[in-house]
Amino acid sequence: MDNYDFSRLSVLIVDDSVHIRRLVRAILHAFGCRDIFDAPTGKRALKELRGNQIDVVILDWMMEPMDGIQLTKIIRAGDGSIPNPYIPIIMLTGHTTMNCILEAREAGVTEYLAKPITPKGLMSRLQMVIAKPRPFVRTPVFFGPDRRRKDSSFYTGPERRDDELEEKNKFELDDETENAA
Amino acid sequence: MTKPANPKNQKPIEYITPPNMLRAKLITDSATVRDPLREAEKALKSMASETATWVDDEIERLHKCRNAFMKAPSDPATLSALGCAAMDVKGLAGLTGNLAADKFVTSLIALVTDPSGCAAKEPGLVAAHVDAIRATRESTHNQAVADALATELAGITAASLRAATAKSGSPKA
Repeated sequence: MDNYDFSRLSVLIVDDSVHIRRLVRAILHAFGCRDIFDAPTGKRALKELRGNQIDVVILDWMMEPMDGIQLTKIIRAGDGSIPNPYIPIIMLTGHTTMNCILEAREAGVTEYLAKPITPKGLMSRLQMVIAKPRPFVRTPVFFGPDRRRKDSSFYTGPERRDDELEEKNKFELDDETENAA
Repeated sequence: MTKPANPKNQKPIEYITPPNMLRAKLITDSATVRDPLREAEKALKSMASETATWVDDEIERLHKCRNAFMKAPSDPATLSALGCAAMDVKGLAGLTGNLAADKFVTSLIALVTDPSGCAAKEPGLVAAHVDAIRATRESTHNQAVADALATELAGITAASLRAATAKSGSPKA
């Protein structure tokens, strides 16, 4: 496993609970992070993203008035006001049903961390976004990290992914397959 | 069976692989890098008295939300506030090592986020969860009893959720 110098990592924590922000900050600080920003609301988070060089966003799902899903969609919309629409977003949540995970993925969340928050869980998600970043997909209806994570090495059907991806950066996919993905 | 792609129905999909600048920025050969996980566990242990007050604060907030919800169980705002507070208690649950409290709050979250509106129909069940979380926090003398109660309450909640879902016909989120 690679060694990372987390003192070079800049993180934005977005959570309406001051205690959750403190907990995440304490864990990140112990990892070695020194550039830690935090925001109690989505609006404030957008301000921090516009004004600072942030590498990773860690955000809560349930916030008011703007929740984590809405904030993710704004970041991914890439309307020019957010410097990096590809920024890794790690979502913290107590929602652990498959529907919720799919909703988060649909919004453009990169990684999903189920509460309770632990150093081990946070480290594994950070390592994931650093070492194995997801490629991005842009379609007429979606922009965000590729939602397919499963290793397809056991797949024995016709190749529909790698061969085309290596040859060109754009590929075609029929409507039906896209809807099923 | 997958139908062959019809070229006329195809839509362009752009597949983008941004350069991994983050790994390049953070990777180091230095052998002096500490074990970050060990450092974090150590830091949290040293902050135990401070984090205990965070947990107490969040449980107190949850209890206030419970009282507001009991006055107006059909008000989506009170339910939403209760859901937010429950999620925050769940977020800090790793600090307490209290498995019963974690079970209570997990069951509470399932109840208050149920799309068929089970919480509004069974406010007493919601209150029982919050009261149990508070009681478990205040008295940790008998974990075995607390665990048994948590399992029992989770079972009752699961049955209520199944019944509410069957009645409304909506899938459980």
